[in-house]
Amino acid sequence: MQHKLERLLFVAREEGIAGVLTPETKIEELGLDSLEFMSFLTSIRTEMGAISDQDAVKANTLSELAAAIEC
Amino acid sequence: MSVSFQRETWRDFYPDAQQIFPIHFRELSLHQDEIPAGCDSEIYETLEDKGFLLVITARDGRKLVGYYVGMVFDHHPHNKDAGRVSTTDMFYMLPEYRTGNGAKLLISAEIHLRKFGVRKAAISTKLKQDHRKLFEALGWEATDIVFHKLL
Repeated sequence: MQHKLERLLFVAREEGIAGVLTPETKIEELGLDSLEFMSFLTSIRTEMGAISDQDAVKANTLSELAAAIEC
Repeated sequence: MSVSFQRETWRDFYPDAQQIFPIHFRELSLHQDEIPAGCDSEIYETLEDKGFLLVITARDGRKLVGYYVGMVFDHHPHNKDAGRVSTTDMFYMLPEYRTGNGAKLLISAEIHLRKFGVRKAAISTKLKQDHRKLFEALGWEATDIVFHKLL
């Protein structure tokens, strides 16, 4: 899980998401608009593995998002 | 703020929606002087009772912050054996909640449309507030341009 989280933070950095990111950082606090969120999700799927739409929608924090990725 | 997305009935949605409809109208509706706002809730209730309506809400706690309202029909009259189709009646997110929640709302709507057995769904975007890139990122295909004319 720790590895997935670290990987997710790396992908977030590659997406240009700035600021202090922690497992408890809320996705809404990333400052992404809808298109940027979709770009982030696409990068996660490309760089890390599958995540269902349902799980992506339910995740509120980076930790929850990482947990939902199948890799 | 933590937004959840869920299916609701029109009757549960409408009392809260009445607070947002004027904001939605002012931001997006066309020809506002000639075509005033005025939601006919009874029509939506009738559609819901017939199983033709899908309401997905976005809520921050109990506060309504966005919604998708779709109409689902067993088939298009041009394609009677092609399966269920849907059109989007409303898609709106309060400006202060446009932090990825619009995409989440539309993804949620698509999940529920699939559960409804919809094979082909439609949504449109205003030219003055173009969501084409978002829709395309979510896998929708731009197919038509709609023209309106006041008569």
